[in-house]
Amino acid sequence: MLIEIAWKNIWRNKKRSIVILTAIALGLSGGIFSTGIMVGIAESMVNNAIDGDLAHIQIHTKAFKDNPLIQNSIPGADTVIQQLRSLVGMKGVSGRVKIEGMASSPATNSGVEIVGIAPKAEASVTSIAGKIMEGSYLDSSNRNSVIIGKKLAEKLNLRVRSKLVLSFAGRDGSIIYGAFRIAGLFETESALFDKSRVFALDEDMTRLLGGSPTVHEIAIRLVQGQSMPEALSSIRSAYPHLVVESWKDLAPELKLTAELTNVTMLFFLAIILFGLLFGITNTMLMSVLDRIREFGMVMAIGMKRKRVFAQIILETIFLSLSGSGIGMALGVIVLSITQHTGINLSVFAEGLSIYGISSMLYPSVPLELYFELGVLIVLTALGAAVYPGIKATRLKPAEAIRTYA
Amino acid sequence: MNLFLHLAWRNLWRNKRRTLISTSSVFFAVLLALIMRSMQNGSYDYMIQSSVGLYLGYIQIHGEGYWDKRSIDQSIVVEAEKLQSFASNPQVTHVVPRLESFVLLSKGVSTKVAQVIGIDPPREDAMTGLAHRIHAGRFLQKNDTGILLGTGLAKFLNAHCGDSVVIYGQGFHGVTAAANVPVVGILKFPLPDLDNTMSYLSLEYAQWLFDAPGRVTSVALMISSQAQLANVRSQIERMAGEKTEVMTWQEMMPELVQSIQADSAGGILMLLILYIVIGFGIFGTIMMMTNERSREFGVLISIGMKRWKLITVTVMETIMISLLGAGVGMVVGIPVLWYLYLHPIPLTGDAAAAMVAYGLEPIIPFSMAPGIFIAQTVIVFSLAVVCAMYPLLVIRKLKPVAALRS
Repeated sequence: MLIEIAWKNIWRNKKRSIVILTAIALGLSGGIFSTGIMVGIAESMVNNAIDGDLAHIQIHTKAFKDNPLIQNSIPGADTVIQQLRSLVGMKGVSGRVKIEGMASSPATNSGVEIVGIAPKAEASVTSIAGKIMEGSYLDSSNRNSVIIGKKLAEKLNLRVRSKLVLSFAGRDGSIIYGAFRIAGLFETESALFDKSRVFALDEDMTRLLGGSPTVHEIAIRLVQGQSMPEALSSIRSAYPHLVVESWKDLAPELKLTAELTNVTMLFFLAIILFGLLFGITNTMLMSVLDRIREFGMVMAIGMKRKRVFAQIILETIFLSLSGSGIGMALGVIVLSITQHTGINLSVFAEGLSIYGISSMLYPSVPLELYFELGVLIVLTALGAAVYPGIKATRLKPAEAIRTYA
Repeated sequence: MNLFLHLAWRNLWRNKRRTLISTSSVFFAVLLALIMRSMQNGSYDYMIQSSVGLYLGYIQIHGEGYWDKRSIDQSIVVEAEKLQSFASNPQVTHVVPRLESFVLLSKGVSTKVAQVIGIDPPREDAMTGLAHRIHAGRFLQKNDTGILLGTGLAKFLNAHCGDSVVIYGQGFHGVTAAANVPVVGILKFPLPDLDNTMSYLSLEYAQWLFDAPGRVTSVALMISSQAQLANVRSQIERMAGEKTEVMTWQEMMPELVQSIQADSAGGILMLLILYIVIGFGIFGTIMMMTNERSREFGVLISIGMKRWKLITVTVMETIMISLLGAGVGMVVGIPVLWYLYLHPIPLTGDAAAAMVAYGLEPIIPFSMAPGIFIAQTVIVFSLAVVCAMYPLLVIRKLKPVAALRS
């Protein structure tokens, strides 16, 4: 019965309740939507980095991590790659030659990171093959070809089929020059990547460096990202002499961004709720002051103060939950619409590309957040009810009945 | 007017608790908004300052098309008189000529790509304070034949002061530039990006090395205030002559400008939501204050009080509630922000590593730009004006007879 009375009481002053309901609904739907955007941005950053370059796991030698010299390559890399491929849960394994060097064209030159790859293996690990905007992806049968970022090509004033000279230091420190032809231009979400990466065939690099095949980095893509911890520990125990790292170790800033975003947004939602707390308290306080006589009366005929307090708490919770319900529903509707259509942020495309964020944004809200939000809402309602509740229970029935507000 | 103010003030305190709760909601919102915007703007200023003040300058003069291609072939001859004429502009504080290129630096078996910049040592130091970054050895002098390396670069090459490094590069019009240069100093930069890639030669030596006598790739200008940017730019453009481009830092770094705009838009969206919530709170309070006084209004109007006078008093009440909150917010916020402005919060652990990875120093700087404070006052004031529409409409349409009986 208390529940029914509490519910009906909310609607005694419709205007007042509607104002506060609108505030709660707008605050929460706005909060949920901005959470969706921020989490969407963070996911876009992480996914683009994993898809484009990092993969899930990378293996190097300890020496290469300390000093990325050519000779610090992974011993017996071919066998290691073969063994890794036979493990379960592997989507792709790619061995990479990594050398810092200079890309020169008749127009100018630019410092680059040269990555020697086996085209098929790399395509199973990263999405680079799908990012080709002009020309074609690398092909093992096409000797001395490279693919470079569109931004780098613009800077060097080169097109598809143009000649490009790569120079880098060989094993003995002498400078090696190699002439390549551009097979294709790629464009990823990251401006830095597009300006600084040159992909060449691993065989060409091996020939230029002289001697046996060289692999500095093995990148692994898992079928499922969740199986990372098991994969990491099994690879680590199989190759104790190598450094095996997940993308979280390789790019701690991404890991932090991904983890911090959820916390930050929950904090932001808590701030909105704190802002709402004032409004709800005021509404409930007014509602109590309006009914001083009524409370005096029911207490005089024997209603327990505990029940009066409970009634006010129930009213506050009902008020907050109805507003939150509407707010959450609105938020979810807006989210699901924008998840289908995407939000076009191409006005900011260049700025976002510094951080490797796609300009088409798909907002996303982790499911747990709704539960955490629910808990916060109830806490807010309780917080808002305390003062009006105490106010009501402190009434002296005899005086309250005679109050004419 | 004084009487109205007096009445409005007294009306506010007829229900103390309610007014206090509403005011504190505004206080809370303003304080939060101040801290958040100060933090955002502080980091933008800092990002701009690190690229503009430490390296780029507000304005640069290049050969036509240099900025896109960064080729030494687009270098220009800038005579000493020309530099003097740029410097004679009263707004221009520093004029810094440079000759930049990418080269391979090697020592022993280690080779690394580096950016090498030929500088006029005293001018460069005056603008960017480069000499203070010397970690070991000495700074360059005019006509110096030595090289300065960033610590990261030096560590990779295992080069120390007194060692020699080999430079390979492409000079003017494709000639090969190669030389064996002694390391005279090691520079420590706060950002790993710079630390791992930067090296400096004297301008004269760089011109000799790249076979570009008298040529520079860029002239960086510092000006006394950002507000004069457009002005100075057009004056410099007239002076610079043909076959040159004059660019502001915004044109040179459109990505930075955009990423700041995007981030700022996100922050404004969040504050907007918070202010909407707070605005409804004020509106609710004002609505209650108006409704419970409808009888009083009825009496006053029926005994001859002018409606506009009543409206003035209620509008004043609304504005007082909000501005009181905003005022207390400022009084509390300003000293806190001032302290944080003078003592930026240092970050540690993962967060610090993340900042460094994005090329920023691991600190949270704050801004004291007056715009932040003005903006909050304007927002709160507008909220109050919007909320005041309610009593305004109620009083205009109030029927005294009906109100008396309510």
